[in-house]
Amino acid sequence: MPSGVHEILKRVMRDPLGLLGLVLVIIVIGAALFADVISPYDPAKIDVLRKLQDPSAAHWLGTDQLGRDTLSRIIYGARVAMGIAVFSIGIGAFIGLILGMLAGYGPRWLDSLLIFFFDSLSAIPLILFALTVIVILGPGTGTLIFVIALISIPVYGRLVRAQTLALRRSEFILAEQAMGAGTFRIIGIHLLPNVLGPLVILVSMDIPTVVALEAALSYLGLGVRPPTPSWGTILNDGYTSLRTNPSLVIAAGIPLVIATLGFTFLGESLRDALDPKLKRRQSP
Amino acid sequence: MLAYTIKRIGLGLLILIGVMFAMYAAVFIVPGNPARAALGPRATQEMIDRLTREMGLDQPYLVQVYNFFVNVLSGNLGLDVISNRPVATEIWEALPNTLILCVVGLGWATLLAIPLGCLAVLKRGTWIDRATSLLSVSVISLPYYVIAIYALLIFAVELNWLPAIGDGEPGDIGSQIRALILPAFAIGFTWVGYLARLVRASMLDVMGEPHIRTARAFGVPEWKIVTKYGLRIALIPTLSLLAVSLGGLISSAVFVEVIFSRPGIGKLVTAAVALRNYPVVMGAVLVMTAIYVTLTIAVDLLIARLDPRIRDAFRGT
Amino acid sequence: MTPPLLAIRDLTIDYAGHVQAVRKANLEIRMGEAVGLVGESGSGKSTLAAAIPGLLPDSARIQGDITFKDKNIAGNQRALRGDEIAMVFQDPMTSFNPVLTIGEQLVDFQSRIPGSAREKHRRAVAMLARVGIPDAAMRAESYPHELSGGMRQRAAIAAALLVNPSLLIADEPTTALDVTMEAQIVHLFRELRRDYGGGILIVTHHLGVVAELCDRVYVMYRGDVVEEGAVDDIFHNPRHPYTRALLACDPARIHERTDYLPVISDAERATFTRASWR
Repeated sequence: MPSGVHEILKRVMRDPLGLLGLVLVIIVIGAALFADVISPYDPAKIDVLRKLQDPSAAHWLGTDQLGRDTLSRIIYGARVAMGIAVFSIGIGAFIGLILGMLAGYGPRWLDSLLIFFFDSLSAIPLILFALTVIVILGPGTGTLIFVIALISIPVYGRLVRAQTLALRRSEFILAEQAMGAGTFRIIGIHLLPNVLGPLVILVSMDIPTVVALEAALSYLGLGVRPPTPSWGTILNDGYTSLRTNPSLVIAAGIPLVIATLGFTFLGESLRDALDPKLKRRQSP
Repeated sequence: MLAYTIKRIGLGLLILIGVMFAMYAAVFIVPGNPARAALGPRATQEMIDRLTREMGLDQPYLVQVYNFFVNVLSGNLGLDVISNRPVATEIWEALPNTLILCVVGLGWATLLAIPLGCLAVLKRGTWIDRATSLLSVSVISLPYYVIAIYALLIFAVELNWLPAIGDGEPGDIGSQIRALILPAFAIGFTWVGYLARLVRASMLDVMGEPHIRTARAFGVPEWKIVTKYGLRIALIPTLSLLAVSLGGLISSAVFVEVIFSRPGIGKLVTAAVALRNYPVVMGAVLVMTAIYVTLTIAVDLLIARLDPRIRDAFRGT
Repeated sequence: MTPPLLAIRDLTIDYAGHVQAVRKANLEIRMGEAVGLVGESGSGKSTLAAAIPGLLPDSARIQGDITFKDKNIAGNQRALRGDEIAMVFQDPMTSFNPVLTIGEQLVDFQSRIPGSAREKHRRAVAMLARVGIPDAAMRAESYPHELSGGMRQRAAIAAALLVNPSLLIADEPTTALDVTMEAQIVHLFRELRRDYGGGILIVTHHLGVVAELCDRVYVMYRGDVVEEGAVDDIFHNPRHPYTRALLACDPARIHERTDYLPVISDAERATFTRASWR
């Protein structure tokens, strides 16, 4: 497995967009992990005298309406965004993985039931669904993670189910069954590694959606509670101060752009790298 | 075709029922009185009592569910907790705005994307194609509301060409159109790239198929080959993926309405959420989900109409 | 001696400078003649056939003359397609557009021919009946996937004949069909030849088809035309070592019991390109 990963990484790095994506993703993750070290100021430090300043040498991205350093808030915002993404996707993908494998490998009635469950869940437009859960459970980080995890389950569930169904009929699984391999062994050793590849790609393409959703809800004041800096709250702060000083709102959009472009480019490149048919892709 | 239609509608109805059930059961997740949960910690006992009566919570469980379904199906979505007006009425008032925004937003994107996709196929391999490809990948992933806010900043605030807020003066179509431009642009922006890419990919697949060569061998004019023989097939997977993404369209319309302060479902629901006005939220979700499910069914039926192979796959079922 | 309908001189086709699919080929077809073009896969026969109506991919480079009715048409074939030259393709499964009815496509294929849509539709139905498709009027409203392989191929032949071409090219018309259907198609071709006055070019690797249908035959090997002559001559007195080897491989011609079917060995192949039948 490690050699395979090495090979894939090499391919990604050879693709200019993939390389760019990788760099951007590293920046975002790095900001999230090392926020304490990189951040020039304390993001919660209020200094009303210096509110809504333009970018300067002291404050590279200016200050917000309470005088807090925008750059620091954005760096810590990366931690918030990545943290929520990791938790919610982690939970959602895990449950989705299990349900998907159950659906693909188990009896027909279970499959139909799970499909029905997936379809119903994804029949509700994202934001409306999130708003419904928030209205019941009340806004907050916990609710946010719960909502996003819930929404993610059908996404991952469907993918895993499709892979499982396809693999279930493939010959090497039949061979294993013929040799008397137990269900768990088949699932663990054979199905799982084959499912992981597309799963990773999906995660990479899903993170922009999750980050965007979290920011959207925080923008509405229904996500992360202040003073925790979320990119969404910073964006909203910028929006309200739009006419006074637009530099805040411009700055607020930057991390979102970087994160979404980065993960999308990386995901696309991974998808190309993992597709064996595209090995000799160089000629047009 | 008929069997397929019935099956499709049946599935859709089942899903709607599932959603309705989930919506109703949702309030029961939180322990304690659901009415209290719906109204939040600052509710007065009087409000809780009223909502309890309205939600029929003092009745046996099965009766509640039955009443709920009967109510929804007859158009009674409950009362707005704050204003006491029927939720159905409020939604009915707000809905057209949202629908117009959705239609215009997706409409311009589609009208632009299809020729762009075809153009990319014709100029395959040239820098135009590669540039468009790159742009679409980048543009797809940008969150639409960032685009919306930047557009608002540039065109409404800095340049002052277009209004930043509202939906124009009633009766003045011109101002209404001007107010529609930025929001519709924001919604459609991410779609153009996505759709163009889809069209391009499908067209590439189709144009390489042998039957296109047959048509050419018989001297059928190229424009006819591209449209009748190529595009008609290529649009099928495009439509299919479009149907799935319609939910996202509704979501983005809702949020964009908030950003531009337009009246519509978005404003209605976000205000309701802030005030713990559960009946409004639930009613809006049900209505929008119903619309989404109906649209997906419609698209599925359209696809079956366009591709006889799909219809006939159901003959044996 | 009237000039031939189609005359190909010194035709060389290569792809992007690498592979030479066809090398200095010469070929002639007269009106009323059925000519066969045989060879194994990779011999260049399909490429040669596709070059005649100009249906090669853009990356192909063509040198040499293609003369049709005394005019050099190389590069200018578009005007002749669906009018003077018509083609029947190999795989009936994919030759037709899956979302349009057979009738509709047959009408579209007559785009070079004047007439109203209704007339064209009538002609299409008549021709479908002529090629032996039962219930032709109903079949015309069917979609390609609703017809069997044999019927689809008949429809393809009907399409080609509809435009009344001077030259009909059939590229492996029976290859994708099973033996029964193949026999039916061969039978159909033989029947149609009686009424059809134009030239026919049949590209195939099946020697039996050539024997049944063709007057003359060209044999191709790896891009070269290695032998040419009347069908009887070739089959009884093959001159080029490849032709001889090819005929020897035909299971229908094996009269004694053998343990192994004859194949053409690599050593033999080495001699082909050096030999010449002239």
